[in-house]
Amino acid sequence: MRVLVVGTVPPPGGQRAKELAAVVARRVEQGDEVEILSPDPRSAAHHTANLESLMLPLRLVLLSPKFDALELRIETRLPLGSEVNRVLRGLTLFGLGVCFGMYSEVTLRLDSPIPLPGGVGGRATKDMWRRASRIVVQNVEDYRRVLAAPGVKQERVEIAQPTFVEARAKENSWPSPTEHDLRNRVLAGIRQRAEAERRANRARVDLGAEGVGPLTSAAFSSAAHVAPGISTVVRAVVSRVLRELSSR
Amino acid sequence: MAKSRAMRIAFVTPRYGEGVVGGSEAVMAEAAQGLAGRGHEVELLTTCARSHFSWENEFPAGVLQDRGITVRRYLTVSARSRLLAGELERRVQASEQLTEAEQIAWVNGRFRVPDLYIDLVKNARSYDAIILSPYLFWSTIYGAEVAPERTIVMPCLHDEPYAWLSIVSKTLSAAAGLWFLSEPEHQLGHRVAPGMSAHHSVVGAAVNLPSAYDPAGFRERHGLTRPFILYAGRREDGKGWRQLLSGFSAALVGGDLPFDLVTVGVGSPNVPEGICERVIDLGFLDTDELPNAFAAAEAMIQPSVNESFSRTMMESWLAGTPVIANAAGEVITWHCERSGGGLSYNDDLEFAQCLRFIAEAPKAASALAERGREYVLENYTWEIVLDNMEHSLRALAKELTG
Repeated sequence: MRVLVVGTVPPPGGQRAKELAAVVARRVEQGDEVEILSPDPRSAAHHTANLESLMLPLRLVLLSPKFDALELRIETRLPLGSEVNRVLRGLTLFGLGVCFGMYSEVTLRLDSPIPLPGGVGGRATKDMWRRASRIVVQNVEDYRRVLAAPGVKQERVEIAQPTFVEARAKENSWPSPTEHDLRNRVLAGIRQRAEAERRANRARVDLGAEGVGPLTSAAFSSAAHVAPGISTVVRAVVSRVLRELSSR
Repeated sequence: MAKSRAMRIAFVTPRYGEGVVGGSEAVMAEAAQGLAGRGHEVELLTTCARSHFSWENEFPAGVLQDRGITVRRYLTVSARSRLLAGELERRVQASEQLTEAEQIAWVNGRFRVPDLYIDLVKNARSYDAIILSPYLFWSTIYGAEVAPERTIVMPCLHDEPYAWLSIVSKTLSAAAGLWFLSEPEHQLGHRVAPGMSAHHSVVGAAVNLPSAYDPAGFRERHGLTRPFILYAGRREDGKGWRQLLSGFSAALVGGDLPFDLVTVGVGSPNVPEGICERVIDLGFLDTDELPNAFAAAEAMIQPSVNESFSRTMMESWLAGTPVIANAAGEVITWHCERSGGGLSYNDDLEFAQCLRFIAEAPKAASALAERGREYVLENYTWEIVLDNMEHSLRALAKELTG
């Protein structure tokens, strides 16, 4: 498959740029022919161009005959800066929706917080969400936000998995699967990390900051079966902890 | 010749049939069917109840043939005074000293099955052995008195207030034989009933090995788009469900836990509002679908300290899925240590780190699960367990015939 990847890739760009590079690496490993289009001339990209507002849909239309699939990272100023007016926002996003139809497969990767001035909703975004084959967000908060937008199909939205490099680094911090005394080594790691977190929580509480912890039994007495937003997880926990602390 | 003689065996269990969830009930049903499959004449005496909360008669009373065994169902009779039953239950839970009369009243306060008792009195001598389980119900406490010389109790003991009632000690001490499911349960048995019969053994329990698993199909059928950890069993405080919800909510606070918590079984999940979106209740699954749930999960959680065996741990390992168990549970920790394949946690922070390990080191997690699978296949297949049971039954029969 011929794939056009659009977004900032390293050297500049930080963690999200590294993740996009990892996406490219995965695609190449799978046998895809990949070209990168970046707004940053320092990027290790095949092409660089101004991709702000209407320039992005325009470029995508022009490049569409050469590619089957599109991987587009929505980042700050790609395509919208915070100062963009409503009309230009609407035209740009509507234009994206139109040109997505020119690719057989479109993956949208959204930075967090989602860099779409005016939010993820509105009529202009409907085609864009509807035509994206996959929408990758960074966390549950964004997942919930995107799901609430018109035209979004739940089965197409997913939360980003750690990149290969990150995942490997994390995996390497645990004992290897072939270690002789695997269970005890893993358990030692678990207990050590938990103890470090316990100490950190104590220090936070000593400093007067909010600690973290499980829901108290009071939370269960008001249990409901229908869920509101996931953001309430953090709110519920923090409010319980605050209540506990204030009652001491 | 005597060795190969087919025996006539009665299994007495408070519940049996479709929709019944419980470890003891499952072991009794499968053992009965397994021994029938080995040529023994097996009858299973049970109630018409499905729910161990209401004990309402949901199945019709009468006799039926099911998978090689004769099932006799009897109507339950409910407590004479629910108020008194509730008060006694509270006192037992608070580990208060109850007189023997009060303990008898407590046993009678849940359900009674007089017709089963009468049939057992009439027919006891026609059986070579009467096997009763679990320890804390009317059918066992009363049934054990009928013909103690041919009675084997499979208590499924947990270290809980009920176990320390003197009527339990008397029941276990009077039975001709005892079957334990694990070594820690055996040791607890000695503490609860120091005078128990010498004819006791750890027979173990077993799980069926499915011919195939369908994890992808399972996810699709139930609309599960994200990785998940699994809790399978009764959603009750006594099984650690509330503690699991609490630990899971704490683990979510970090914000990057990739797992949902999927639960299958009976009882109301009663999920707090704040984590409703991350807890998915699939309700009761039939026996064909349950193994797929284990195979599709990233890990199975066993939060219950009240286990005498824990079939769900074995089913999970068999499916190649890692197990995370509450370290306060003696039996489940014993399995984890003995197999070298299970993780255990002492508090919510360790639980969160266990989940992190599963998420970050899936290969090492699979390697642990593989050790668990080997452990199950070496110790807990029906072939092995039925051999243990038959050996015990033959010894008892030999004693009876002198």
